Amino acid sequence: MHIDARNLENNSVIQGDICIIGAGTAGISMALDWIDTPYKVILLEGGGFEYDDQVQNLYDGETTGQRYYPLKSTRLHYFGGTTGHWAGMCSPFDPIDFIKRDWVPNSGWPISRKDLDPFYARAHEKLQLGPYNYEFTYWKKELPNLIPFSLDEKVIWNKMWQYSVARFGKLYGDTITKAKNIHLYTYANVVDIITNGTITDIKEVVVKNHAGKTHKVRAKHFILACGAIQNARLLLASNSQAAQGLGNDNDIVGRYFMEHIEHASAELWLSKPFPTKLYSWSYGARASAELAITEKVQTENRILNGTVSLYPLAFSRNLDSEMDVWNNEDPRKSAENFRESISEAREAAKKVNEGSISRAFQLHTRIEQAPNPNSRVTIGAEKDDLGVPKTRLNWELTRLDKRSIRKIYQLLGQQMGISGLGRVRLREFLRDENDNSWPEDLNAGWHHMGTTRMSDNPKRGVVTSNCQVHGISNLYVAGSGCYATSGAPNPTLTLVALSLRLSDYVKDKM
Amino acid sequence: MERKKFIFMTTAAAAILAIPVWYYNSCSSVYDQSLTKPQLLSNIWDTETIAEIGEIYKKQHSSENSPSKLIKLLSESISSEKGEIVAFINQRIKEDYKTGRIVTIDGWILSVTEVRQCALYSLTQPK
Repeated sequence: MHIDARNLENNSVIQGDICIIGAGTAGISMALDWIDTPYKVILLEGGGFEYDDQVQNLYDGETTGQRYYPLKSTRLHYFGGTTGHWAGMCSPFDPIDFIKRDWVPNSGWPISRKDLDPFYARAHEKLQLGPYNYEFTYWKKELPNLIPFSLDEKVIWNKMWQYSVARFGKLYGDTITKAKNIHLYTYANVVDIITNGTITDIKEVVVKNHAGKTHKVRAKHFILACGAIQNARLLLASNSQAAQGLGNDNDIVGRYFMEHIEHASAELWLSKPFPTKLYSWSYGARASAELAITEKVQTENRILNGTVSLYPLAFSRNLDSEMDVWNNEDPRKSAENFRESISEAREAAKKVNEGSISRAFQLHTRIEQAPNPNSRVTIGAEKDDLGVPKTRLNWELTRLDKRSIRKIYQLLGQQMGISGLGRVRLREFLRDENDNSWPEDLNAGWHHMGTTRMSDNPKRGVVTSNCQVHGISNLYVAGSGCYATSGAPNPTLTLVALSLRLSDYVKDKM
Repeated sequence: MERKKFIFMTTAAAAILAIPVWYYNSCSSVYDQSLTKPQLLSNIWDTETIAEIGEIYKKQHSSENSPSKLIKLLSESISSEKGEIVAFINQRIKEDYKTGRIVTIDGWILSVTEVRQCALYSLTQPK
C-alpha cells in the first residue's frame, strides 16, 4: 500500500507494529522480509519514486578534513535509495574483518563472518546475485576464461566479486506497494525521534514534508535505515530529551565514520600479454576478481585489508580523478561528469595503446579505513528546509591507512618479481616511506560506514550485536553505520545481510 | 741477481700478468653483453629508461659506480658457460625478490641484480 504523506490531513497519526525509517537498500530489504506477516509495517521514505531536487537538498552538508564529495551528491533520496545509481559490486567481508586485530585500533566486531553467512545467502536473493559462493575454483568452472596470475597463494589470493544490476526502486516498487501489510509513506521525512521520559523507549517519530504537513508515527519498534550519515544525523538531532542526542551517552554517535579509499596507487607492467577476463570488470558481468593479501600476510605486516583491481593503463592514465569529476552538488550532474570522463579516457586510450603500455595496468586500491574517532559526522547550526540541523562531516585518515596501501603494493611488486610476470611501479604519493600526507584528489568509494558502530560495550559502540541502540529497547539501526570496521568490499551486500539479521531479531521480539 | 733488480723484475712480471686480467674485468669488450641487458625490463622499457634507472641507482650507490665493480658483482658465482649467464641472472633476480633484495627507484620495485644491469648499461653505452 502506498500513501503520499503530502496528501494526508495535517497532524495525522500513523500507527503500525514496526516502523522502518528509510526506503533504501536496508529499509526495502527489511520490508520485503515482512511481507505476508501478520504485522503492519510502516515504511517511511523522505522522497517519492523519482529524483526530487527539493528532497535531495535535505542531504546538503558541509565537509572538512580530507577532501570529500559534495554530501548532497553521494546518496539518492528517493524510493530505492542509492541503488538508483550504484555499480552493483558485491563481495562478502573476510573473516579477518570481524576479528580484533591488535594493530588496528578499535577493530573487532561482536559477531563473526560465520554469524553473517546465512544472511549473506539471503541477501543474495534480494540483490539478485548468483549463488552465495565466492570460491575462485567454483567460478573458474563456471567461467573458464578467468585465468589467474600464477602468484604465491600464501601471499596473494583472488578475491571474487559478483555484480548486481538490482535497482531497488524499479525492482521492488510494485512488490512493496502491492503488499497488504506494508504501508509505504512517501514524502515522509523523519525530523525528530520522541522517547518516553526515561529515554528507554521510542514513543513516536515526527515526519514532515515540503507541503507543510507534519505527522506522527507510532509503532512498537523503530528501525533507522537512512544510511550511515543520515542515521547519525537523526540521532544527534533528536536532542530535545537527551542533550547529546539519542544513543549518544558516550559520545560515539557519528564518530568512526569510515569510507573505502579507492585510488589509483601503482602500475603493473607485464612482460608478455596475459589474456584473461579474471581481473577486468564490466557492468553486467557475473564475476571477476581482485588481488588480495592473505590474512596471514596482513597479520605479519600489521596492515589493513585491501584489494587491488586492474584497469588498462592507457585508459586509466587519461581518466580524471573521481574526486575532481564528481564535484557537482547534483548527483545526476556528477554522474554525468563521471560518465563523460570515462568516455573521454576511452577515446584517448585508443591513440596510445601500442607497445608495452598495451600490457600495462593501473593498479587501483580498494581498502578499509582504520576506525578513527576523529573521522566523524556532527550536526551544525544551520538547518535544512524541514528544520533539521545540517550534517557536518570531518573525514580523517590515519598513518596506518597509508602504510597499508604502500605495503600492499610492495608485496604485490615482490610477488610479481618472483613470478616473472612483470614489474610494479608505485605512484608518487606512495614512494616516500616517511610521507604520511594524502593527495588532494584522493578518491573514496561513496561508501558511508561506522557512525553507529556495533559493540556489546555501550562505551565503545552505539548499537548491540543485534543492531539495537544501547539503552533504548525498541530502536534499531539497519545498515553500514553499524560496521565496526569497514572491510575492503563495497558495503551493500553486507548491509543487506546485516539488515536481514536484524529483521529476524525484531520478529523474534514481536 | 741484485736485490733491487730482482724486485723490479718480479714487479714487472706481476704487472704483465695482472694487466690483462684487469683489462678483461674492466673493459666493455670482453664481458658478456647480456650483463647489460635486464631481460624482463627490456620488454617493458626502452633503452633510455634502462639507462635512466641505472643512473639513479649509481647516484644512490656511489661505491658501485664503475663497470669493473658492477661486472664483478653481477658475475659472482656465474659459471664460465656463456649460454647459462642469462638463465643464471634471471634466477638470481627471482632470488632477489624472494629474499627482499629489492630497491625502489622512481617508484619501480626492482631487484638489485636487474638494477645493477641497468647501471652497467648506463656506464657502458656511448653517450
